[in-house]
Amino acid sequence: MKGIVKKLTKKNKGARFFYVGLIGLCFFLSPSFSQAQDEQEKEVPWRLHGYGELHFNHPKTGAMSQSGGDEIDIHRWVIGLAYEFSDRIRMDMELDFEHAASEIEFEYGFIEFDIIPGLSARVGSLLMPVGPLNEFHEPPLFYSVERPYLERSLIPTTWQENGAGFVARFMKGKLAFRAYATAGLNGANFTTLDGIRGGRSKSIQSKIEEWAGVGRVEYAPVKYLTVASSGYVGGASQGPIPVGNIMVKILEGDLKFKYEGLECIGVFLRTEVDDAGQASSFAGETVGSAMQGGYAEAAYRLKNLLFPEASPADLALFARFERFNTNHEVPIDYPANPSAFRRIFTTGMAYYPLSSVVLKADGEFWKDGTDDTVERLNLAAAFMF
Amino acid sequence: MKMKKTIIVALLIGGFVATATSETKKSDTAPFALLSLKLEGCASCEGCRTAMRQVVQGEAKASRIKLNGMTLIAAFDEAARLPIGQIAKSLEASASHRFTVNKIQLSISGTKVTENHHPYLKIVPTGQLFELSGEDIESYEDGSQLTISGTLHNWQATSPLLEAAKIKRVPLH
Repeated sequence: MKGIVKKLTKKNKGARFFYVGLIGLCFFLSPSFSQAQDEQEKEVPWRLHGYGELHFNHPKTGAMSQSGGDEIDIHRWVIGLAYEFSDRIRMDMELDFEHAASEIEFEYGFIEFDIIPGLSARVGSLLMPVGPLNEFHEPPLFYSVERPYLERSLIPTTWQENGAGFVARFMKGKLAFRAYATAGLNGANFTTLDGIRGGRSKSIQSKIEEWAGVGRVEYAPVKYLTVASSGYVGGASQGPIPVGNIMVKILEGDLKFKYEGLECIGVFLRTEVDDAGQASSFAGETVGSAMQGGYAEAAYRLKNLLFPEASPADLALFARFERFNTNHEVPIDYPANPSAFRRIFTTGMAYYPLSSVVLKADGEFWKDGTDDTVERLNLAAAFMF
Repeated sequence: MKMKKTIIVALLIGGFVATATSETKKSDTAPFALLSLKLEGCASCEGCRTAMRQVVQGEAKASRIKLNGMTLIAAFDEAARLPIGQIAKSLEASASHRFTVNKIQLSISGTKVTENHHPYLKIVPTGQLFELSGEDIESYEDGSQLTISGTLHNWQATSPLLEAAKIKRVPLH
Protein backbone atom coordinates (compact mmCIF):
# COMPACT_ATOMS: atom_id res chain seq x y z
CA MET A 1 0.00 0.00 0.00
CA LYS A 2 2.81 2.37 0.95
CA GLY A 3 4.49 1.67 -2.38
CA ILE A 4 1.34 2.45 -4.33
CA VAL A 5 0.86 5.72 -2.50
CA LYS A 6 4.50 6.62 -3.08
CA LYS A 7 4.27 5.82 -6.78
CA LEU A 8 1.02 7.72 -7.24
CA THR A 9 2.27 10.80 -5.54
CA LYS A 10 5.97 10.88 -6.23
CA LYS A 11 5.59 14.20 -8.06
CA ASN A 12 3.59 15.86 -5.35
CA LYS A 13 4.48 15.49 -1.68
CA GLY A 14 1.36 17.36 -0.59
CA ALA A 15 -0.84 14.89 -2.42
CA ARG A 16 0.80 12.04 -0.46
CA PHE A 17 -0.61 13.43 2.77
CA PHE A 18 -3.99 13.67 1.08
CA TYR A 19 -3.95 9.99 0.01
CA VAL A 20 -2.69 8.74 3.37
CA GLY A 21 -5.33 10.86 5.11
CA LEU A 22 -8.08 9.56 2.83
CA ILE A 23 -7.10 5.92 3.33
CA GLY A 24 -6.92 6.54 7.08
CA LEU A 25 -10.39 8.10 7.00
CA CYS A 26 -11.77 5.04 5.21
CA PHE A 27 -10.30 2.71 7.84
CA PHE A 28 -11.64 4.96 10.56
CA LEU A 29 -15.13 4.98 9.10
CA SER A 30 -15.41 1.38 7.96
CA PRO A 31 -16.20 -0.38 11.30
CA SER A 32 -18.95 2.04 12.20
CA PHE A 33 -20.28 1.90 8.63
CA SER A 34 -20.64 -1.91 8.83
CA GLN A 35 -22.32 -1.50 12.16
CA ALA A 36 -24.70 1.03 10.66
CA GLN A 37 -25.64 -1.42 7.91
CA ASP A 38 -26.35 -4.11 10.53
CA GLU A 39 -28.50 -1.76 12.55
CA GLN A 40 -30.62 -0.10 9.89
CA GLU A 41 -32.88 1.45 12.46
CA LYS A 42 -30.04 3.20 14.24
CA GLU A 43 -29.72 6.72 12.94
CA VAL A 44 -26.31 7.71 11.63
CA PRO A 45 -25.63 11.28 10.48
CA TRP A 46 -23.57 10.35 7.43
CA ARG A 47 -23.69 8.15 4.38
CA LEU A 48 -20.93 6.96 2.07
CA HIS A 49 -21.79 6.78 -1.62
CA GLY A 50 -19.94 6.47 -4.87
CA TYR A 51 -19.55 4.83 -8.24
CA GLY A 52 -16.87 3.54 -10.55
CA GLU A 53 -16.37 2.38 -14.11
CA LEU A 54 -13.69 0.45 -15.93
CA HIS A 55 -13.64 0.86 -19.74
CA PHE A 56 -12.12 -1.03 -22.64
CA ASN A 57 -12.20 0.88 -25.96
CA HIS A 58 -11.16 -0.50 -29.35
CA PRO A 59 -9.97 1.93 -30.67
CA LYS A 60 -9.66 4.43 -27.83
CA THR A 61 -12.16 7.28 -27.63
CA GLY A 62 -11.34 10.53 -29.40
CA ALA A 63 -9.68 8.72 -32.30
CA MET A 64 -11.38 9.06 -35.71
CA SER A 65 -9.24 6.24 -37.02
CA GLN A 66 -9.45 2.44 -36.69
CA SER A 67 -5.72 2.39 -35.97
CA GLY A 68 -5.99 4.82 -33.06
CA GLY A 69 -4.86 2.18 -30.56
CA ASP A 70 -6.86 0.30 -27.92
CA GLU A 71 -7.20 1.34 -24.32
CA ILE A 72 -8.28 -0.09 -20.98
CA ASP A 73 -8.82 2.50 -18.29
CA ILE A 74 -10.10 2.89 -14.75
CA HIS A 75 -12.06 5.78 -16.12
CA ARG A 76 -13.81 7.01 -12.99
CA TRP A 77 -13.70 5.91 -9.36
CA VAL A 78 -15.72 8.19 -7.15
CA ILE A 79 -16.22 8.28 -3.41
CA GLY A 80 -18.72 10.57 -1.74
CA LEU A 81 -19.87 11.50 1.72
CA ALA A 82 -23.17 12.99 2.83
CA TYR A 83 -23.34 14.30 6.37
CA GLU A 84 -26.40 15.61 8.20
CA PHE A 85 -25.45 18.37 10.64
CA SER A 86 -29.08 18.67 11.69
CA ASP A 87 -32.54 17.89 10.40
CA ARG A 88 -32.40 20.89 8.09
CA ILE A 89 -28.75 21.34 7.23
CA ARG A 90 -26.52 18.82 5.49
CA MET A 91 -23.38 18.51 3.40
CA ASP A 92 -22.86 16.34 0.34
CA MET A 93 -19.67 15.88 -1.67
CA GLU A 94 -17.87 13.57 -4.09
CA LEU A 95 -14.24 13.16 -5.10
CA ASP A 96 -13.57 11.69 -8.52
CA PHE A 97 -10.32 9.76 -9.04
CA GLU A 98 -10.28 9.80 -12.85
CA HIS A 99 -8.01 7.59 -14.95
CA ALA A 100 -6.73 5.60 -11.97
CA ALA A 101 -6.38 8.73 -9.84
CA SER A 102 -4.09 10.49 -12.33
CA GLU A 103 -6.68 13.29 -12.29
CA ILE A 104 -8.47 14.15 -9.09
CA GLU A 105 -11.62 16.16 -9.55
CA PHE A 106 -13.88 17.70 -6.95
CA GLU A 107 -17.06 16.36 -8.52
CA TYR A 108 -19.34 18.44 -6.34
CA GLY A 109 -19.65 19.60 -2.77
CA PHE A 110 -22.32 21.75 -1.22
CA ILE A 111 -24.14 22.63 1.95
CA GLU A 112 -27.90 22.27 1.71
CA PHE A 113 -30.43 24.11 3.86
CA ASP A 114 -34.13 23.17 4.01
CA ILE A 115 -36.23 26.32 3.87
CA ILE A 116 -39.79 25.01 3.73
CA PRO A 117 -41.04 21.49 2.96
CA GLY A 118 -40.12 20.79 -0.65
CA LEU A 119 -37.75 23.77 -0.99
CA SER A 120 -34.05 23.72 -0.16
CA ALA A 121 -31.16 26.07 -0.82
CA ARG A 122 -27.63 25.03 -1.74
CA VAL A 123 -24.29 26.75 -1.77
CA GLY A 124 -21.01 25.28 -2.97
CA SER A 125 -19.80 23.42 -6.01
CA LEU A 126 -23.00 22.48 -7.81
CA LEU A 127 -23.69 20.03 -10.61
CA MET A 128 -25.21 22.14 -13.36
CA PRO A 129 -28.82 21.13 -14.01
CA VAL A 130 -28.47 20.97 -17.80
CA GLY A 131 -29.76 17.93 -19.66
CA PRO A 132 -30.86 14.61 -18.23
CA LEU A 133 -27.40 13.18 -17.47
CA ASN A 134 -25.12 15.79 -15.91
CA GLU A 135 -26.61 15.46 -12.42
CA PHE A 136 -27.46 11.76 -12.74
CA HIS A 137 -24.35 10.38 -14.39
CA GLU A 138 -23.75 7.20 -12.37
CA PRO A 139 -22.92 4.47 -14.91
CA PRO A 140 -25.72 2.02 -13.98
CA LEU A 141 -28.19 4.82 -14.87
CA PHE A 142 -27.32 4.76 -18.59
CA TYR A 143 -26.80 1.77 -20.86
CA SER A 144 -23.83 2.67 -23.07
CA VAL A 145 -20.20 2.30 -21.99
CA GLU A 146 -19.46 5.93 -22.79
CA ARG A 147 -21.86 8.70 -21.89
CA PRO A 148 -23.78 10.03 -24.91
CA TYR A 149 -21.24 12.11 -26.84
CA LEU A 150 -23.63 15.05 -27.10
CA GLU A 151 -23.43 15.18 -23.31
CA ARG A 152 -19.70 15.65 -23.64
CA SER A 153 -19.36 18.07 -26.55
CA LEU A 154 -22.52 20.15 -26.17
CA ILE A 155 -23.20 19.64 -22.46
CA PRO A 156 -19.75 19.37 -20.89
CA THR A 157 -20.49 16.59 -18.38
CA THR A 158 -19.45 16.37 -15.66
CA TRP A 159 -20.12 20.11 -15.35
CA GLN A 160 -19.90 21.68 -11.92
CA GLU A 161 -19.54 25.35 -10.98
CA ASN A 162 -19.35 27.27 -7.75
CA GLY A 163 -22.53 29.07 -6.84
CA ALA A 164 -25.77 29.01 -4.91
CA GLY A 165 -29.43 28.38 -5.61
CA PHE A 166 -32.60 26.50 -4.93
CA VAL A 167 -33.87 22.94 -5.34
CA ALA A 168 -37.58 22.32 -5.15
CA ARG A 169 -40.14 19.61 -5.62
CA PHE A 170 -43.87 20.25 -5.56
CA MET A 171 -47.17 18.73 -6.74
CA LYS A 172 -46.68 15.41 -4.94
CA GLY A 173 -43.19 15.04 -6.43
CA LYS A 174 -44.39 15.47 -10.00
CA LEU A 175 -42.84 18.91 -10.52
CA ALA A 176 -39.18 19.53 -9.75
CA PHE A 177 -36.94 22.49 -10.41
CA ARG A 178 -33.41 23.64 -9.72
CA ALA A 179 -32.21 27.23 -10.22
CA TYR A 180 -28.67 28.38 -9.45
CA ALA A 181 -26.49 31.47 -9.82
CA THR A 182 -22.97 30.29 -10.58
CA ALA A 183 -19.60 31.41 -11.88
CA GLY A 184 -19.63 31.84 -15.66
CA LEU A 185 -17.62 29.88 -18.20
CA ASN A 186 -14.24 31.02 -19.50
CA GLY A 187 -14.63 31.76 -23.23
CA ALA A 188 -10.85 31.81 -23.70
CA ASN A 189 -10.84 28.01 -23.54
CA PHE A 190 -13.66 27.17 -25.95
CA THR A 191 -12.66 24.92 -28.88
CA THR A 192 -13.98 23.75 -32.24
CA LEU A 193 -14.76 20.12 -31.45
CA ASP A 194 -15.48 20.27 -27.72
CA GLY A 195 -17.38 23.56 -27.80
CA ILE A 196 -17.70 25.15 -24.36
CA ARG A 197 -16.16 22.16 -22.53
CA GLY A 198 -12.77 23.77 -21.92
CA GLY A 199 -14.48 26.80 -20.36
CA ARG A 200 -15.52 24.98 -17.18
CA SER A 201 -13.80 26.15 -14.04
CA LYS A 202 -14.28 22.71 -12.38
CA SER A 203 -14.79 24.76 -9.21
CA ILE A 204 -11.05 25.50 -9.02
CA GLN A 205 -10.59 29.15 -8.06
CA SER A 206 -13.48 30.03 -10.38
CA LYS A 207 -13.19 33.44 -11.96
CA ILE A 208 -16.34 35.42 -11.37
CA GLU A 209 -15.87 38.44 -13.54
CA GLU A 210 -18.96 36.99 -15.18
CA TRP A 211 -21.88 35.24 -13.52
CA ALA A 212 -24.34 32.77 -14.98
CA GLY A 213 -27.87 31.66 -14.26
CA VAL A 214 -28.96 28.07 -14.84
CA GLY A 215 -32.20 26.23 -14.26
CA ARG A 216 -34.08 23.08 -15.01
CA VAL A 217 -37.75 22.13 -14.73
CA GLU A 218 -38.96 18.53 -14.75
CA TYR A 219 -42.60 17.52 -14.88
CA ALA A 220 -43.96 13.99 -14.65
CA PRO A 221 -47.68 14.32 -15.56
CA VAL A 222 -48.05 10.54 -15.43
CA LYS A 223 -45.85 7.82 -13.98
CA TYR A 224 -44.50 6.79 -17.39
CA LEU A 225 -43.53 10.19 -18.77
CA THR A 226 -41.18 12.98 -17.73
CA VAL A 227 -40.75 16.16 -19.79
CA ALA A 228 -37.97 18.54 -18.88
CA SER A 229 -36.22 21.66 -20.03
CA SER A 230 -32.97 23.33 -19.02
CA GLY A 231 -31.66 26.82 -19.66
CA TYR A 232 -28.35 28.58 -19.10
CA VAL A 233 -27.32 32.20 -19.66
CA GLY A 234 -23.95 33.49 -18.62
CA GLY A 235 -21.11 35.78 -19.51
CA ALA A 236 -17.85 34.12 -20.53
CA SER A 237 -15.43 37.03 -20.90
CA GLN A 238 -13.40 35.91 -17.94
CA GLY A 239 -9.77 36.11 -17.11
CA PRO A 240 -7.27 36.87 -19.81
CA ILE A 241 -9.69 38.06 -22.49
CA PRO A 242 -9.09 41.78 -22.54
CA VAL A 243 -12.09 42.81 -24.59
CA GLY A 244 -15.18 41.26 -26.06
CA ASN A 245 -18.53 40.32 -24.76
CA ILE A 246 -18.70 36.57 -24.94
CA MET A 247 -21.97 35.23 -23.68
CA VAL A 248 -23.26 31.66 -23.67
CA LYS A 249 -26.93 30.75 -23.93
CA ILE A 250 -28.14 27.15 -23.77
CA LEU A 251 -31.66 25.91 -24.27
CA GLU A 252 -32.35 22.21 -23.86
CA GLY A 253 -35.43 20.00 -23.88
CA ASP A 254 -35.76 16.31 -23.14
CA LEU A 255 -38.43 13.69 -22.78
CA LYS A 256 -38.34 10.31 -21.06
CA PHE A 257 -40.89 7.58 -21.48
CA LYS A 258 -40.87 4.38 -19.43
CA TYR A 259 -43.50 1.71 -19.76
CA GLU A 260 -43.01 -1.85 -18.58
CA GLY A 261 -39.60 -2.81 -20.03
CA LEU A 262 -39.52 -0.08 -22.68
CA GLU A 263 -37.53 3.08 -22.06
CA CYS A 264 -37.19 5.90 -24.57
CA ILE A 265 -35.38 9.20 -24.27
CA GLY A 266 -35.09 12.15 -26.62
CA VAL A 267 -32.84 15.17 -26.10
CA PHE A 268 -32.46 18.34 -28.16
CA LEU A 269 -30.07 21.16 -27.33
CA ARG A 270 -28.92 24.45 -28.85
CA THR A 271 -26.05 26.54 -27.55
CA GLU A 272 -25.42 30.08 -28.78
CA VAL A 273 -22.15 31.90 -28.20
CA ASP A 274 -22.34 35.68 -28.62
CA ASP A 275 -19.08 37.21 -29.83
CA ALA A 276 -17.80 33.79 -30.90
CA GLY A 277 -15.30 35.61 -33.12
CA GLN A 278 -13.50 36.83 -30.01
CA ALA A 279 -13.45 33.30 -28.59
CA SER A 280 -12.21 31.97 -31.95
CA SER A 281 -9.39 34.50 -32.15
CA PHE A 282 -8.30 33.49 -28.67
CA ALA A 283 -8.57 29.74 -29.42
CA GLY A 284 -6.88 30.05 -32.82
CA GLU A 285 -9.66 27.91 -34.32
CA THR A 286 -13.33 28.26 -35.12
CA VAL A 287 -15.58 28.35 -32.07
CA GLY A 288 -19.15 27.92 -33.21
CA SER A 289 -21.54 30.80 -32.70
CA ALA A 290 -24.25 28.17 -32.55
CA MET A 291 -23.88 24.52 -31.56
CA GLN A 292 -26.84 22.25 -31.98
CA GLY A 293 -27.85 18.64 -31.84
CA GLY A 294 -29.85 15.89 -30.27
CA TYR A 295 -30.14 12.21 -29.66
CA ALA A 296 -32.82 9.59 -29.38
CA GLU A 297 -32.44 6.31 -27.54
CA ALA A 298 -34.66 3.28 -27.09
CA ALA A 299 -33.96 0.49 -24.65
CA TYR A 300 -35.80 -2.63 -23.61
CA ARG A 301 -35.29 -4.41 -20.31
CA LEU A 302 -35.71 -8.17 -20.63
CA LYS A 303 -36.08 -8.99 -16.94
CA ASN A 304 -39.57 -10.45 -17.29
CA LEU A 305 -38.51 -12.67 -20.21
CA LEU A 306 -35.15 -13.93 -18.96
CA PHE A 307 -35.07 -13.97 -15.18
CA PRO A 308 -37.33 -15.29 -12.40
CA GLU A 309 -39.35 -12.65 -10.57
CA ALA A 310 -37.32 -13.03 -7.37
CA SER A 311 -34.01 -12.50 -9.19
CA PRO A 312 -32.49 -9.01 -9.10
CA ALA A 313 -30.81 -9.61 -12.48
CA ASP A 314 -31.79 -7.73 -15.62
CA LEU A 315 -30.59 -7.37 -19.18
CA ALA A 316 -31.19 -4.28 -21.32
CA LEU A 317 -30.75 -3.95 -25.07
CA PHE A 318 -30.45 -0.44 -26.43
CA ALA A 319 -29.84 1.65 -29.54
CA ARG A 320 -29.08 5.36 -29.75
CA PHE A 321 -28.59 7.83 -32.57
CA GLU A 322 -26.81 11.13 -31.95
CA ARG A 323 -26.40 14.00 -34.38
CA PHE A 324 -24.73 17.24 -33.39
CA ASN A 325 -22.56 20.01 -34.75
CA THR A 326 -20.36 22.26 -32.63
CA ASN A 327 -19.90 24.51 -35.70
CA HIS A 328 -23.59 24.63 -36.63
CA GLU A 329 -23.18 28.38 -37.17
CA VAL A 330 -19.81 30.12 -37.20
CA PRO A 331 -18.61 33.73 -36.82
CA ILE A 332 -17.73 35.82 -39.89
CA ASP A 333 -14.16 35.20 -41.12
CA TYR A 334 -13.98 31.78 -39.47
CA PRO A 335 -14.77 28.75 -41.64
CA ALA A 336 -16.82 25.85 -40.26
CA ASN A 337 -14.80 22.75 -39.52
CA PRO A 338 -16.63 19.79 -41.13
CA SER A 339 -15.26 17.47 -38.41
CA ALA A 340 -17.50 19.30 -35.94
CA PHE A 341 -20.58 17.70 -37.51
CA ARG A 342 -20.89 14.22 -36.01
CA ARG A 343 -23.36 11.38 -36.34
CA ILE A 344 -23.02 8.41 -34.01
CA PHE A 345 -25.07 5.24 -33.86
CA THR A 346 -24.51 3.18 -30.72
CA THR A 347 -26.08 -0.17 -29.94
CA GLY A 348 -25.38 -2.81 -27.35
CA MET A 349 -26.44 -4.38 -24.09
CA ALA A 350 -26.14 -3.89 -20.36
CA TYR A 351 -26.36 -6.83 -17.95
CA TYR A 352 -27.29 -6.05 -14.35
CA PRO A 353 -26.56 -8.90 -11.89
CA LEU A 354 -27.84 -6.38 -9.32
CA SER A 355 -29.47 -3.02 -9.98
CA SER A 356 -26.31 -1.27 -8.78
CA VAL A 357 -23.74 -3.33 -10.73
CA VAL A 358 -23.57 -3.48 -14.52
CA LEU A 359 -21.52 -5.13 -17.27
CA LYS A 360 -21.83 -3.36 -20.63
CA ALA A 361 -20.89 -4.07 -24.23
CA ASP A 362 -21.63 -1.88 -27.22
CA GLY A 363 -20.55 -0.82 -30.68
CA GLU A 364 -20.27 2.75 -31.96
CA PHE A 365 -20.50 3.73 -35.61
CA TRP A 366 -19.19 7.24 -36.24
CA LYS A 367 -19.37 9.46 -39.28
CA ASP A 368 -18.32 13.11 -39.36
CA GLY A 369 -18.77 15.95 -41.85
CA THR A 370 -15.63 14.96 -43.76
CA ASP A 371 -17.19 11.51 -44.32
CA ASP A 372 -14.52 9.94 -42.10
CA THR A 373 -15.90 6.91 -40.30
CA VAL A 374 -14.85 4.82 -37.37
CA GLU A 375 -16.30 1.77 -35.66
CA ARG A 376 -15.57 1.24 -32.00
CA LEU A 377 -16.11 -1.70 -29.64
CA ASN A 378 -16.55 -0.79 -25.97
CA LEU A 379 -16.75 -2.92 -22.83
CA ALA A 380 -17.31 -1.79 -19.27
CA ALA A 381 -17.80 -2.96 -15.72
CA ALA A 382 -19.39 -0.42 -13.38
CA PHE A 383 -21.14 0.02 -10.05
CA MET A 384 -22.73 2.56 -7.77
CA PHE A 385 -23.70 2.51 -4.11
CA MET B 1 -22.07 46.83 -12.78
CA LYS B 2 -20.28 43.52 -12.14
CA MET B 3 -19.69 44.55 -8.52
CA LYS B 4 -23.42 45.26 -8.14
CA LYS B 5 -24.27 41.80 -9.46
CA THR B 6 -21.80 40.20 -7.07
CA ILE B 7 -23.27 42.11 -4.12
CA ILE B 8 -26.82 41.11 -5.07
CA VAL B 9 -25.86 37.43 -5.32
CA ALA B 10 -23.94 37.60 -2.02
CA LEU B 11 -26.95 39.18 -0.29
CA LEU B 12 -29.20 36.50 -1.74
CA ILE B 13 -26.92 33.76 -0.42
CA GLY B 14 -26.69 35.43 2.99
CA GLY B 15 -30.46 35.83 3.13
CA PHE B 16 -31.33 32.23 2.59
CA VAL B 17 -28.56 30.96 4.82
CA ALA B 18 -29.87 33.16 7.65
CA THR B 19 -33.41 31.97 7.02
CA ALA B 20 -32.49 28.32 6.86
CA THR B 21 -30.19 28.18 9.83
CA SER B 22 -32.94 29.11 12.26
CA GLU B 23 -33.28 25.53 13.49
CA THR B 24 -36.50 24.30 15.05
CA LYS B 25 -36.10 23.08 18.59
CA LYS B 26 -36.40 19.32 18.93
CA SER B 27 -39.11 17.95 21.16
CA ASP B 28 -37.91 16.21 24.32
CA THR B 29 -40.87 13.82 24.34
CA ALA B 30 -41.22 10.76 22.13
CA PRO B 31 -42.78 11.60 18.75
CA PHE B 32 -46.44 10.92 18.12
CA ALA B 33 -45.48 8.81 15.11
CA LEU B 34 -42.32 7.49 13.54
CA LEU B 35 -42.60 6.40 9.91
CA SER B 36 -39.84 4.36 8.30
CA LEU B 37 -39.83 3.70 4.54
CA LYS B 38 -37.40 1.15 3.14
CA LEU B 39 -36.72 2.10 -0.46
CA GLU B 40 -35.16 0.40 -3.42
CA GLY B 41 -33.73 2.40 -6.29
CA CYS B 42 -31.10 4.98 -6.94
CA ALA B 43 -29.82 6.82 -3.88
CA SER B 44 -26.29 7.18 -5.16
CA CYS B 45 -26.71 10.66 -6.58
CA GLU B 46 -27.36 13.78 -4.55
CA GLY B 47 -30.42 14.58 -6.66
CA CYS B 48 -32.12 11.34 -5.61
CA ARG B 49 -31.39 11.84 -1.94
CA THR B 50 -32.82 15.37 -2.04
CA ALA B 51 -35.82 14.12 -4.04
CA MET B 52 -36.61 11.45 -1.43
CA ARG B 53 -36.44 13.96 1.36
CA GLN B 54 -38.46 16.63 -0.44
CA VAL B 55 -41.22 14.27 -1.59
CA VAL B 56 -41.79 12.93 1.92
CA GLN B 57 -41.49 16.35 3.52
CA GLY B 58 -43.90 17.87 0.99
CA GLU B 59 -46.48 15.12 1.44
CA ALA B 60 -46.30 14.43 5.13
CA LYS B 61 -45.16 17.69 6.76
CA ALA B 62 -43.04 15.65 9.15
CA SER B 63 -41.24 17.36 12.01
CA ARG B 64 -37.94 15.73 11.08
CA ILE B 65 -36.67 13.58 8.23
CA LYS B 66 -33.53 11.46 8.20
CA LEU B 67 -32.10 9.43 5.36
CA ASN B 68 -30.38 6.40 6.85
CA GLY B 69 -28.91 4.28 4.05
CA MET B 70 -31.94 3.40 1.92
CA THR B 71 -34.35 4.01 4.79
CA LEU B 72 -36.20 7.28 5.14
CA ILE B 73 -37.30 8.01 8.68
CA ALA B 74 -39.93 10.68 9.29
CA ALA B 75 -40.74 11.77 12.83
CA PHE B 76 -44.04 13.51 13.65
CA ASP B 77 -44.06 15.43 16.92
CA GLU B 78 -47.66 16.59 16.62
CA ALA B 79 -50.70 14.40 15.96
CA ALA B 80 -51.50 14.52 12.25
CA ARG B 81 -53.19 12.40 9.64
CA LEU B 82 -50.46 10.38 7.92
CA PRO B 83 -50.94 10.17 4.14
CA ILE B 84 -48.89 6.97 3.96
CA GLY B 85 -50.34 5.63 0.71
CA GLN B 86 -49.86 9.01 -0.95
CA ILE B 87 -46.24 9.23 0.22
CA ALA B 88 -45.45 5.82 -1.30
CA LYS B 89 -47.28 6.71 -4.51
CA SER B 90 -45.49 10.06 -4.84
CA LEU B 91 -42.07 8.50 -4.28
CA GLU B 92 -42.74 5.96 -6.99
CA ALA B 93 -44.05 8.63 -9.40
CA SER B 94 -41.32 11.15 -8.65
CA ALA B 95 -39.98 13.03 -11.69
CA SER B 96 -36.60 11.80 -12.97
CA HIS B 97 -36.03 9.21 -10.30
CA ARG B 98 -36.90 5.56 -9.89
CA PHE B 99 -37.77 4.42 -6.40
CA THR B 100 -39.79 1.47 -5.15
CA VAL B 101 -41.15 1.39 -1.63
CA ASN B 102 -40.36 -2.09 -0.30
CA LYS B 103 -41.42 -1.92 3.32
CA ILE B 104 -43.08 0.58 5.62
CA GLN B 105 -42.70 0.44 9.37
CA LEU B 106 -44.73 2.59 11.69
CA SER B 107 -44.60 3.39 15.36
CA ILE B 108 -47.69 5.33 16.40
CA SER B 109 -49.73 6.17 19.47
CA GLY B 110 -53.52 5.84 19.65
CA THR B 111 -56.50 4.20 21.32
CA LYS B 112 -57.43 0.57 20.83
CA VAL B 113 -60.99 0.13 19.56
CA THR B 114 -62.95 -2.81 18.15
CA GLU B 115 -65.10 -2.41 15.06
CA ASN B 116 -66.87 -5.29 13.29
CA HIS B 117 -65.04 -7.74 15.59
CA HIS B 118 -61.63 -6.47 14.39
CA PRO B 119 -59.13 -4.59 16.56
CA TYR B 120 -58.08 -1.12 15.38
CA LEU B 121 -55.82 1.64 16.60
CA LYS B 122 -57.72 4.91 16.41
CA ILE B 123 -55.84 8.18 16.22
CA VAL B 124 -58.42 10.24 18.10
CA PRO B 125 -57.39 13.77 17.01
CA THR B 126 -57.53 12.84 13.31
CA GLY B 127 -59.89 9.88 13.24
CA GLN B 128 -57.37 7.83 11.24
CA LEU B 129 -57.73 4.06 11.78
CA PHE B 130 -55.14 1.30 11.53
CA GLU B 131 -56.32 -2.28 11.60
CA LEU B 132 -54.22 -4.32 14.03
CA SER B 133 -52.84 -7.83 13.96
CA GLY B 134 -50.48 -9.61 16.33
CA GLU B 135 -50.57 -12.23 19.06
CA ASP B 136 -50.77 -9.90 22.04
CA ILE B 137 -53.24 -7.39 20.72
CA GLU B 138 -56.30 -9.17 22.11
CA SER B 139 -54.91 -8.90 25.65
CA TYR B 140 -55.43 -5.12 25.66
CA GLU B 141 -58.93 -3.95 26.43
CA ASP B 142 -60.75 -1.35 24.29
CA GLY B 143 -59.87 2.19 25.27
CA SER B 144 -56.26 1.34 26.10
CA GLN B 145 -53.78 4.03 25.10
CA LEU B 146 -51.04 2.23 23.17
CA THR B 147 -47.94 2.90 21.15
CA ILE B 148 -47.67 0.17 18.54
CA SER B 149 -44.62 -0.49 16.38
CA GLY B 150 -44.69 -2.84 13.44
CA THR B 151 -44.86 -3.40 9.71
CA LEU B 152 -47.61 -1.74 7.72
CA HIS B 153 -49.44 -3.72 5.02
CA ASN B 154 -51.96 -2.59 2.37
CA TRP B 155 -50.70 0.93 2.79
CA GLN B 156 -52.89 2.23 -0.03
CA ALA B 157 -56.03 1.14 1.90
CA THR B 158 -58.13 3.54 3.97
CA SER B 159 -57.27 1.60 7.14
CA PRO B 160 -53.91 -0.08 6.52
CA LEU B 161 -53.05 -3.20 8.51
CA LEU B 162 -50.43 -2.66 11.22
CA GLU B 163 -48.74 -5.93 12.14
CA ALA B 164 -47.72 -5.24 15.73
CA ALA B 165 -44.21 -6.31 16.67
CA LYS B 166 -44.03 -4.24 19.83
CA ILE B 167 -46.87 -2.89 21.97
CA LYS B 168 -46.34 -0.38 24.74
CA ARG B 169 -49.03 0.99 26.99
CA VAL B 170 -48.98 4.79 27.11
CA PRO B 171 -49.37 6.06 30.67
CA LEU B 172 -52.35 8.35 31.20
CA HIS B 173 -51.44 11.74 32.58
